Amino acid sequence: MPVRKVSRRTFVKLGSAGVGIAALGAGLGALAQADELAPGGRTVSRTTGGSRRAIASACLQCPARCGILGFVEEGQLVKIEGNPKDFHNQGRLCAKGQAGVNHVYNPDRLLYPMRRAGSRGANLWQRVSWEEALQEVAARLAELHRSGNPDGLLFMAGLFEGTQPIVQRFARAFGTSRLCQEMHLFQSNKAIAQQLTWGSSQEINDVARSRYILNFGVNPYESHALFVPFVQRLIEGRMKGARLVTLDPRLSSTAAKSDEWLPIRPGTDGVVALAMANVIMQKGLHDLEFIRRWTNIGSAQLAEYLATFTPVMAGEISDLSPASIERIAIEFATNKPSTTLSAGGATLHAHGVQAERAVALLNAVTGNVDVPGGYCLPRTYQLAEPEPRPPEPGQALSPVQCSRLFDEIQEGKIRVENLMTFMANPAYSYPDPQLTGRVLADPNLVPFHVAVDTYVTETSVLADIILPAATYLESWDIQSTPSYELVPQVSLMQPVVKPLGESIAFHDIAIELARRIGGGMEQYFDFGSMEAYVLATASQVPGLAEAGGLKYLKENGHWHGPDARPSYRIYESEGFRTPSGKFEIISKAMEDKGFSALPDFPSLAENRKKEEQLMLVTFQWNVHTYGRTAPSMWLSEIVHENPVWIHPETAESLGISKGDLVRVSSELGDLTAKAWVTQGIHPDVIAMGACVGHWESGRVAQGKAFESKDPNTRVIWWQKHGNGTHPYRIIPLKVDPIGGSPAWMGLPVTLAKA
Amino acid sequence: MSRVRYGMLIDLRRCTGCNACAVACKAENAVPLGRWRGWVKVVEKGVYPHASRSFLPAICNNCENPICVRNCPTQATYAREDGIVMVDPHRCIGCKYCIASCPYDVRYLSPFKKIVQKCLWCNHRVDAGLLPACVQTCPTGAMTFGDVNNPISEISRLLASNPVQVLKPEKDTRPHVFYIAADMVAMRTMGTPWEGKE
Repeated sequence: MPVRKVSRRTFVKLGSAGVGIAALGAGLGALAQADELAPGGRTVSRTTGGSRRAIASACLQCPARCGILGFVEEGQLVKIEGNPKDFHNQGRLCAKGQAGVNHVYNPDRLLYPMRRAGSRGANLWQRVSWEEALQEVAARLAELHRSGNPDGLLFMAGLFEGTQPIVQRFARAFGTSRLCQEMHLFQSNKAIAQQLTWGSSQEINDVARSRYILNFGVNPYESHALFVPFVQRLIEGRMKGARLVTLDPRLSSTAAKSDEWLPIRPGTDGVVALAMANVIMQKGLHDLEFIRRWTNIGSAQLAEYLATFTPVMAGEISDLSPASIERIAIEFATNKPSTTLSAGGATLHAHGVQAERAVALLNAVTGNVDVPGGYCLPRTYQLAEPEPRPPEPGQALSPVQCSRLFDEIQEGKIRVENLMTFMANPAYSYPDPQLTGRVLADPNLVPFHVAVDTYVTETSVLADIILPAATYLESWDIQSTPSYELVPQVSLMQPVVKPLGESIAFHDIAIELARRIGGGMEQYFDFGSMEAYVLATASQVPGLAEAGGLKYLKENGHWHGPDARPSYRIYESEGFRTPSGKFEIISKAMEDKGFSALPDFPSLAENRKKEEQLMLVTFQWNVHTYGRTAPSMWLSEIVHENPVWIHPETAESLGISKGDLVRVSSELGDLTAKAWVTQGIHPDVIAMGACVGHWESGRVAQGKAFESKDPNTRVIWWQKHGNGTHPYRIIPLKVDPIGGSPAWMGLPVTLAKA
Repeated sequence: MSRVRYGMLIDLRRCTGCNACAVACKAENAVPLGRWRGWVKVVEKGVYPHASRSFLPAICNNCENPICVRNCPTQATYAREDGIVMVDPHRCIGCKYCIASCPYDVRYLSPFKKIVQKCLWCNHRVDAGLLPACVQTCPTGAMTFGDVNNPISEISRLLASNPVQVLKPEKDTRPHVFYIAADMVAMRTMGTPWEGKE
């Protein structure tokens, strides 16, 4: 038998790749055996067989920040793989991460600064020089700055760009309090509920070690804030025998592969969680010690409060059987360690904060908080930005204000002089995107709009000047994303290839604009280059300097303390970061604002559908992240349509067959789409994917074949199928008054054959 | 000592249907749009609320008894020593006999080169000591690739300790892609409800 030669270098790589795997116990298949093939770290040219240059960086196709290696051949990015040295994603990458190559080389990508040459939205442009574009933008911003009205600048950061500290630095240095994060639309209900409850904005479910995983509408098999790192541990946990129970009105891929799928009425997860907590307390299955020591409520008081939430009552509201609610409550409390999962499905409702607090409560009453296999606090480094740091604004825009932004601009409550968008696409991503479009098209409401973007999107088509942004694969950033290994990590994003055409990374645009605007703003960009910024930040991370600092990061992409081991119950030494230092089941902050201090389930009266109505929910496909990925041909090839999921009985009663065109109508308007009749949905619910249906964002996203240097664009075969229908256009703006995320899910609609 | 014989094992208990394998293949092998060397079949079964969905990544089985090799009139299609079924681009005349012969529908005519292409288990990577691109990227480690003749390889260990299936065994092709927990419906159908091939 021929034994494959393994060089020492390869062997060392294999060894280091094994660290993260070993931490999970039995791991991800074939590894670290001398005669096995290498699990990554290098690739070869298909034409010459030679090794390609590999640059370690971080992905930004979603917020997970998986470690990647970009492989470069003759100056072209040809392949992206997971970085085996990164224990976060263990060398693996999802479809979206792989398709990052498309993001760089889409023929419709913006490569030059452009000035509007027709009316807003006409998509007529004149190419201008960077000098001309920067001069105009800087002159307008400098005037605003000098006139003492920095709030006249509204800055909107795209879904994942908002996580980059340089974005916040730019807004603060300019002095505007009006920085809007597009991510609030989808995450702030959960984040604020979590902050109020235990002082952290997200939990880390230690699912690789769980025995029971109770899933309130999360779909990690297709989409998750920390997608690949999370689903890897979820599968590990399940392979070791953990039971996964999913409550979801739709048979998501996660629901489909769960041990049990319980179809639930949208928006009722909170009342089910409260009823489960009630059952747990009544049966004496609660963790008295944790409640007594680490929450701010007595167990008798809690039991009394919960007593009104009976399984019968919750069953009536949620369509689950009372027996099921009681059974899963008992299973959750007796198969420890256990954890809940919750995200958009439970929280993207008008009462989403309360739903999230109700779900979090389950973990507290069972003592699953920050224990192995439980509901854990995130471990991250607080990365220190270089000095001097711009002051925080007195009154930053709240998530509620961000969601209501275009309403408030239209009503004159917010006066905008200059709008700057960076990869933000509110004319697609907001509820009632037509309203956003109308506001952006009106020069009285938005006198000037500069978009920093990679495509002419639904939003940047309405700009006056577009500055071509480098993609994440051509940019710098440094982040500490929470890892499922429960030790803090640092990951570096660095240019894998030079920015294409005349595109420039946002940070370099910001540095140059700050210099030109002046008036004191430039001092906050004294660090000169983003590499210097990253260096200054990296040098503050304890232990990283000894490992080699930025040099180490540039070579490896990722760093964590070599001796770091997961630790649990860190609240025992640090307390929770809440006013009381405890897990706040009673929230004084909620009470002060006029809301129920205890997790509550509000009356459904206002949200209740009429008899003949159905409820619309939206979801994310596994190959897309919101509207961001449709320009990627390898992804849109797989998912380019979003038919309406309809239960067979519902379809039959309306005379609808698979493939028919149907009309979905809400109070805001209606849309026409194809019908997809499936057993995988609650009969009172219809579902649509929300990631396609673009009317701008380039021809690939619109499903149009065209001639370009890439022969593939000639054979966009799904042109004849169309590119779907964007469901947000019939979703009106209704906002959770605490968390600020819109009520995306459970919209009352009527359905008819078109 | 027996020769190296490669095989692949796909553990569908780990598969989330995420399509990372399909896209990694596109990137690795510059597969044209509308053509696939590997894709994820999706099937639903059951009646609400007892409905479920199954996935099955489909690729060339690199059969031990490949009908395509037998039927190729120009000997463009041949099997390597290690079992990988190749297409010699210089000998292929694009006659599509092999496409018609294949019970698994995993071959296609390139719209650009007018020759037949297929999954070669990333032979260029395997020859360089690397796992095939799909196996390398699979987020949940559902795919294992290696030498089925080596009793201590990971794939041999998994094949020995699990009940496994192959697609259409009645065709006597002796496939070398093995599955754990494959659903019968997914094994029988080639299409997918909302994705897949032109």
